[in-house]
Amino acid sequence: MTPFDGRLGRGAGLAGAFGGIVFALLASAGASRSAHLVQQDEKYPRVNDLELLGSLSCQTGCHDQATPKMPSPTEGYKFIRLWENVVWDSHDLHSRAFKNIEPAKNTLAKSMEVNLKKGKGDAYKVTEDVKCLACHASVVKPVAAMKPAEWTPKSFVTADGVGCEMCHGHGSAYRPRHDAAKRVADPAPGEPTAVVEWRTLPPAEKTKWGLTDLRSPATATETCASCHIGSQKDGRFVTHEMYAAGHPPLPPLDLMAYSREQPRHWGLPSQMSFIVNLAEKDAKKAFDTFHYRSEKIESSVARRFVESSIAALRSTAALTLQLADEAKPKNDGLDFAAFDCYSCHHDLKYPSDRQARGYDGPPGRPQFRVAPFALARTVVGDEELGKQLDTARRDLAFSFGNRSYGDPEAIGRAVAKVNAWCDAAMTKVRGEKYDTKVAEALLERIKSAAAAETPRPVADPELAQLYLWAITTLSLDKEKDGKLPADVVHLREKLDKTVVTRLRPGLPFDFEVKADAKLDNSQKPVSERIGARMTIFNAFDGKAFRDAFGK
Amino acid sequence: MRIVATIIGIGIAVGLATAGRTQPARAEAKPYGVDLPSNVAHSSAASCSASACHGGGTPGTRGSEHTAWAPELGSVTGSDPHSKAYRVLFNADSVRIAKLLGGGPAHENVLCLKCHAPAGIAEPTARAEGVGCSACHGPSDKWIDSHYLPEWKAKSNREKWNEGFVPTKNLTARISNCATCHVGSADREVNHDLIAAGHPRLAFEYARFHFSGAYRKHWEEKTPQPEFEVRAWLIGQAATARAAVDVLHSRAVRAAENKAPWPEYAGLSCFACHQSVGEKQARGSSGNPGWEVFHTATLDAASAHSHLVLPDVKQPVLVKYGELKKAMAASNPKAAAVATLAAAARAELDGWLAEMQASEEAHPRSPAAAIQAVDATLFLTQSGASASEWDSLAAHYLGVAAMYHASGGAKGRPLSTKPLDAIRGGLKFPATFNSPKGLDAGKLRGEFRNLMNAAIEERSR
Repeated sequence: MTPFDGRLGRGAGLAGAFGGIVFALLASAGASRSAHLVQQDEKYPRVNDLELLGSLSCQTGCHDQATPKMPSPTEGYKFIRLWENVVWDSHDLHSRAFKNIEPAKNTLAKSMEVNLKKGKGDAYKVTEDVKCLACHASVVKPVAAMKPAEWTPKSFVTADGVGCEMCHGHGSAYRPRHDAAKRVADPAPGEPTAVVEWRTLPPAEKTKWGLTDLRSPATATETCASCHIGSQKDGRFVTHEMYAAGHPPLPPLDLMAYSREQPRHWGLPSQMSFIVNLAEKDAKKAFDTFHYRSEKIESSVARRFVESSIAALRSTAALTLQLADEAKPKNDGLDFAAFDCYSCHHDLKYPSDRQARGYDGPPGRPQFRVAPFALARTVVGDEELGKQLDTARRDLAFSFGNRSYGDPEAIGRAVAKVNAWCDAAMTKVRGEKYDTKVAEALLERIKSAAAAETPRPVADPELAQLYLWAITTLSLDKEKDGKLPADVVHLREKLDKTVVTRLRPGLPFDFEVKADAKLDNSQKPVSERIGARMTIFNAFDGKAFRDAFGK
Repeated sequence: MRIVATIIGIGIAVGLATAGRTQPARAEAKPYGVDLPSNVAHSSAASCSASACHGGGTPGTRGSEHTAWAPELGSVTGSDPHSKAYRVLFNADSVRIAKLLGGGPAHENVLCLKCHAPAGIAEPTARAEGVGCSACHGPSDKWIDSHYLPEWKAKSNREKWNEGFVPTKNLTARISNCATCHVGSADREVNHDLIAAGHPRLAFEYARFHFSGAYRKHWEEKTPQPEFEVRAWLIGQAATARAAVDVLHSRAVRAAENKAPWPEYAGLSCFACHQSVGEKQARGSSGNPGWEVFHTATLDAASAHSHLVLPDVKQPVLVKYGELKKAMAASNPKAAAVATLAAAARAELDGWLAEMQASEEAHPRSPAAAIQAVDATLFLTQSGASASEWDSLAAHYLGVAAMYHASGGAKGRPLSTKPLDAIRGGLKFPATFNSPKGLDAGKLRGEFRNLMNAAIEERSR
């Protein structure tokens, strides 16, 4: 279907609206198909019926408007950006995810394939390995309908890379519902002439139709974590074998930093007048539906950051537990990928910083990645809860060091404590109001944790980057004309040679990208982009980092 | 040229034959000098250093052994580093190591004393001597009163060993004994906790240690060059690998009872893991670090070479050893299975060492040693040209360097000088690092090929 067909489709819809019947305003498919599906209305689809539609279905005539047409009867541009596909297509690395594993198209994939063939035989192809496709392509059915064990290369559509529905949910069921509009019989002046009921349905209802509630910080983090941390349940896990063959390391997951540089193809709730107005009129409904409170009450950015930091720790713990559970019956240990890469992977120096700092438990035992623990502890800020997390963390350190590949039984017990902590922490932060004062205190807490010399200075480059990303995130509310406050800009300039201040170093944009933004460095080969990041990562200097926060 | 082709041909044929054979090692033989008899005890050096015995004269003359060994104030030639082994337990490094390990002060910790003052565990007053006479020459309670008498001298080496004396003139016995600390043994080990706390890793190559400038020797070598160094390298490889298998066995047994971490990282290749993520030349491909690469990398070259150097020695059949290496190349091998394999592999290596030991005794000289050194170079450069890890490249370098040194250095083997210098330069760690950051293994493999060509040219003269 061409964009022209799309416009025709919309024309037909408009005609229908004036007839006073249910219609599909933004439908890219013809009106007849929408009408057919809408008749099933309130019956929930079975999960087995959820299927991938592909990004073409989303973009054609709807989410591909570089300049949204205004006004429109439902005023969709007040609710979403409508240029999502344009930004995704030109800037978002998810759209290149499959190209990145094609040996013919880039050297990194080629060398990985050569390395993996050594263990898997000459017939091995990266592009046909479901373990690679799991995160580099779009799977045709959700995991609930088709288990990873049943996957074949044919279970994936590769054209979009990681397409819209990998984050938003398989679209076959919600696709016809999510844009179905009803004409308002007698609209007030300035109000839209048609409403889309779907918008304000409770998130649980939308989820039943397959749409993922990405406005929820916890759900969004869990969705990203499926690939960016890993989830055995979802068939997604970067093994140590893959890393050893050349897969770039996964940086610690920070929902806000990742989505800043994705870049964001959506508006923050505070930028979408539909959501802002709802919060004014019906605060409870706005929070229940969009996890949003008016900015007069709290910073939605701070809330999203805080909840996602706890959710990221929880996802890390979940993966660890899955790996431990798999290891138990085999009397095996955990894959090295469950450990902190930099416990082992550092060039040796003598005397060493590590020896000066001391170790968690006996020296010389590789540990889990500490960054999400330290961040969550700082973010929650409660001393009592902090001590509980320290206990859980010590138990986990013991369980990782107790045996060389970890002690799965002990890991299971320690992770249960981490999970309980995450629940308690989430309950606590959900009871908070992140008003200006609380958000400011949070920012100060992060700055002082970053600069602290005691009990232990920040020595982990991953934690340094999480702190720096957090400082950027919490300055988002002070952003003016797409520019960060001067002190944050200065801080990043001081550190951008030794700390990964940006996931995509050298990117010409920082926050949200409009459809007409100039092209970024995503066209560069993946090996070059990652190389730039790793050079900075390996140059981490703890003292320079701490000093940067000094007066 | 034909001789060279024949030698390489033998190497390949042997490799194939070894792979095909399945029968166990020839004999249950065990050389003297390994596994100290349990009924002997350590004692201090005090009685050795009487001036009429080993404590007289000036270093370099007979009867001056203890004098040469002992630290000497203001000495230019230094002393035997073993004499300082206890003293280092008081330095800042040791204090920090002990603090990180949490087992009390290093100079009182049995774990440390086992190698830094072996006689001092039972006898605290003997600690100050560090690695004293009995540590290398054997616990002397059974022979201290008789070892200067004719009836002692009439005893065979094995009889002496049974009383606790290490017949160090025999290289097999000598190097096996060095390896009990420098590689480890059933009850001595440097584990990864200790290394992470700051203890240097163990990387033992006898010929390199023997000729170290820091080592003031208190004896004169009876076997002349080049046979001494050719044999020292060769036997050293077998004795070192045997010790590595012995440590592994002990670790596996303890791990199978959940009494030790498994696998023990100290037995794995340091730089396979200790490299920055994103370094251009990733080391290894399967994601598993190699087992004891430094101590075993050149064992194949040695086993292909030993029967050409030592009369009456047959090509060793190391089937179990091969299985052990294969098992240790897998991720998280099973400790109990490794313990069984290691015991069998140790028996194979013991059989081979016993044959080499007997041959050493029967044939103190090798008229063709200079040619044998070049032959060893051929085996070594052949396998060095396919090495990828620093440990393996370094072990091959030390082997080739020993052969070069044995046969006269720059004068004897001028063609080898340049590529050897290049390899040594390429193995050096960059300033401020203690690991081979930016190692260019491909370039070093090329230099091993250059060395092989040089050896072929020398051999065909």
